[in-house]
Amino acid sequence: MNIFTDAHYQAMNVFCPPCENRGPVSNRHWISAFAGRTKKILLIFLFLFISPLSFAATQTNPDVYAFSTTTDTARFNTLLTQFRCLVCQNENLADSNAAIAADLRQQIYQRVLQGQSDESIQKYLVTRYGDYVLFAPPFKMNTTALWILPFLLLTGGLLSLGIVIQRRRKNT
Amino acid sequence: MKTMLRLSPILLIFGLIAALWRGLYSNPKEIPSPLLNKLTPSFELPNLFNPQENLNNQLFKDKVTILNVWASWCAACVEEQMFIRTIAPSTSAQWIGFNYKDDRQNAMAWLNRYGNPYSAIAADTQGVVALDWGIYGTPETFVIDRKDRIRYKHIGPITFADWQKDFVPLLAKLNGEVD
Amino acid sequence: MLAEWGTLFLALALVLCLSILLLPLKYSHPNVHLFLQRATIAYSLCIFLALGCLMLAFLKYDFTLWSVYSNANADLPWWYRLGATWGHHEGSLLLWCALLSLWCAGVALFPRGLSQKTHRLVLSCLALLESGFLVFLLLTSSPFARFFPTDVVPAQTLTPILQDPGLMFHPPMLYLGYVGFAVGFAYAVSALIEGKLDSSWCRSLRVWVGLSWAFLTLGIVLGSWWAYRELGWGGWWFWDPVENASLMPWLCATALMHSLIVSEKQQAFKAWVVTLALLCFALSLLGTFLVRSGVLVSVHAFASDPSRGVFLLLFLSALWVSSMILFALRAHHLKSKHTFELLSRETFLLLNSVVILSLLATVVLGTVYPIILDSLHSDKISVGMPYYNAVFVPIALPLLLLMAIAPLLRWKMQSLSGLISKIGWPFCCAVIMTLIVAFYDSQSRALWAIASLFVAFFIIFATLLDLYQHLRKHALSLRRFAMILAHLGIAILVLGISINKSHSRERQVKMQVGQSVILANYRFTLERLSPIVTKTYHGTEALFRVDKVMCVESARAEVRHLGPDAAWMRRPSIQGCIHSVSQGSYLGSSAGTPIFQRLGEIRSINENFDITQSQITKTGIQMTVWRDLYIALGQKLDKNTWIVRVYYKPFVRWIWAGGILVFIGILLTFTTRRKSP
Repeated sequence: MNIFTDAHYQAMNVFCPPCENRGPVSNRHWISAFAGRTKKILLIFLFLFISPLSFAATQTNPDVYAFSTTTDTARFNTLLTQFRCLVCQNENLADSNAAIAADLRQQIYQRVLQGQSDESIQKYLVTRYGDYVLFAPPFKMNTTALWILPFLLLTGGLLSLGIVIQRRRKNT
Repeated sequence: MKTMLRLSPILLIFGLIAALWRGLYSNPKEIPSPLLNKLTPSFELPNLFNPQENLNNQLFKDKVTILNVWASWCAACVEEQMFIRTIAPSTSAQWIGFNYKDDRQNAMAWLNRYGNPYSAIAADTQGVVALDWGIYGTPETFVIDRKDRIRYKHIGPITFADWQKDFVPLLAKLNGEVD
Repeated sequence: MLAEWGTLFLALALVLCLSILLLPLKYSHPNVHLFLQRATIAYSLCIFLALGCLMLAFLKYDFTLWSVYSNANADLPWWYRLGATWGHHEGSLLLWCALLSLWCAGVALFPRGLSQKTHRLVLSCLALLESGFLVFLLLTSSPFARFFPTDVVPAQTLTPILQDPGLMFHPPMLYLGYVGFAVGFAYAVSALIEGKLDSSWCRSLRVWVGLSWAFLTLGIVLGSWWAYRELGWGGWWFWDPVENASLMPWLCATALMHSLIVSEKQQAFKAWVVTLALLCFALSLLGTFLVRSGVLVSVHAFASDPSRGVFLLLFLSALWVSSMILFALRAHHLKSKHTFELLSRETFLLLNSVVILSLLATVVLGTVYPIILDSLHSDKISVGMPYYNAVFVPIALPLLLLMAIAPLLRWKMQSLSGLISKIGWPFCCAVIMTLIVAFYDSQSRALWAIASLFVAFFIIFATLLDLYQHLRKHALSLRRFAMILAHLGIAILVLGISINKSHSRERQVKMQVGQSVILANYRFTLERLSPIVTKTYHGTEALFRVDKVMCVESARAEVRHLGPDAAWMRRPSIQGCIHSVSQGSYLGSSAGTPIFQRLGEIRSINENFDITQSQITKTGIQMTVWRDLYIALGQKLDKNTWIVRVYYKPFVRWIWAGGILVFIGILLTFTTRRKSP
């Protein structure tokens, strides 16, 4: 992975000494730092050190959960946040250090790699651990109140507010 | 009338209080298994004592089985093992061990030290089969009937009280069931 | 001796509280009032002395105390030992009692225009609450319980996750806010008993509730920041029941404060204000119950002793039920005859209450529903982030729209054309801004992202217009400015949440020394791993070097040489970078190449605590206004390889900055001394 040697780093820092250790600098700032006579030096350095050859060094993907497409990565990351780590207080699979969470992450990873759908992965977990693993409980008889009540309260509140306002208007 | 209407939310409050009250006495870490009354998940695991030999669901055939999940790294299992050792010989069911994410040498040493009440032990070193069984910690115990169905799951170490209350009547019932 | 003194002080405080309660309410000799005030201050002093005793016990390693034995260790530095005073159940309850008494003493010292009779009622009610908690503390969870160990060296210590400066500030701030709603409760009870509620009552209540609201805001912000740093997964809000416990009273207080504005200025919504004040403290109690009774964790962890929970539940149900009965019997005395039209600030402030209460219902349901279902043996369910995203967010977004419009409206009546002329410009500006962002930034095109960006911009433009108009008329009161600040704070918070959610990046990688990984347009190189041994833990410190990746125009030509990591080159941020560099056009002809600009170093430590046998990651964060770079050194895979999690968290500071702005805004409202009418 490390495509540059120390010599490259030092060379880079020569370019832009005021930038070092100062946090990010906006592009414009950066450009101005390069303006003028440094421009030529930069060009030389670019061609000397950063030749396309340096990229040829092969490397293996360092990701613990590596995917070939970004959609899969995104899907995997979202999936992990949907499920609960069973032994933890209130952590999802993405944010847990527990061993069982790591095992389940691995299972989900394998299944995303195989191209299984979100539904089938969810089914895999639910058949083994029940609805408890889902952070969004499925809409069922006993969870109706959980899903409906906030909206019901909102509509009810708005209706009664309407009545209150009707009563409070001067001309009635 | 208006006062009565105003008092009605109190009923709701009483409901909430009752729920919270009962919540105090239940264990939020105990997750019911969706596998209850279903066939045991099929598995194929090496025998702890003889890794060449594979154990599978044939183990449960025509026998009432108690499958106990344990590991040598599990502190609560030691205490439970002491209890299992005393009751296992007189139990009207076979005891099968499920060694969860363990090192073989450690597991054997542990059995030497705390006793081995099991008629066979399946070793799940990777913990993958355990996922199929919905196992999420140690110790856990499954009771399996003659027809290869999971009838009960106990989470945490079995105590004498648990044994008397949950296991003894169930085992009697399962043994009484005719094919 | 310290422990005995502590218990003695607590007992004395309880006696003082009870003596206040025994005073007949009818007896109106001036000395009675004086006694009430002094007794309140005295019991407050006593409880603080008790807290001091516990602190001293921790500082002096009094291991004969169970709380010290189980929560401190000889190797713990003094500041963590001080924090450990409230880092456990008993200590945090003592802190709770102490802060409650602080508010009581405040009310006793500053009657703020309350009539003597009301003041006495308020103080008695507060003494009742205080005595309830003192009894709970003394009977079920005394922090001064003795314990005589067989081995002198304690085997336990403060939970490693609490060994952080956050412990020093977060709980006191949070509790200060939490507990302060007791004052609101006492005010509401006094108003119900007396059957009247005037504007000095409102003004006085506004100060007390507002102060607690401000501290709660700060407490929540600190808690969120602490969780972000400490948990090591880059999250800043988890919808954990413990977090919800603090969010519930906060939401209620928000509704209360906005309704109080109307009550104070227009003498309206009296019964409503009283309801909210009661509800606010009821939710504080519910939160305390959830966190402190062990209902969320197994009772088995509490050695099968639910007595704490039972006591707390009895106490809170007594308070809930009695206050509800009182309300049902007396609320009709609080009639208000105020009239207003459909389109008026009153309507919008009522709408605010309705929507906030629905949000509140969402949070309460999400927190309590699993307990209810479990108690019915119906099912075991979990409620978390996806639920709140689906229910909380759609209700919260319209509320933010209301927030932008309401301050621009007139009291009592507002003409529709006037309203349109007022919000027309901000609305159009917000639409244009949102469109611009959505056009240039493909990651902000999700429906929720567009909606939240729009409301944030709308609030900002509408509020700034309001500010400009007031400045132009030289009519900007400090109170108005405070409101503007707080509303801008919310807008910044929403902006931060939205952008952080849509643009955050993370990678979990296996790394060895010398290797590097690219995330967004930053490169992280693991430069060094060095062992660290302190008294409390031994661990490994990883030193990362961070470079910003810059690109030149034709960088795309190089993509194929970059190997699997090349995906970053196609990311919009890099594309934007390529674009901006090309604007300078000075490298137009050169081969496209990324250039690395050194930004600095980040250190992350993996700590192993021997005593508790646990592993904690101290995250390394490099922050700027626009983004955080966040590294957590995970577990060791083999001799050389470690799992490293790197996060790119844009705008995350905006979330807390918004929260702090709200805090400052609320505090500013109290700096003005209101002219008495």
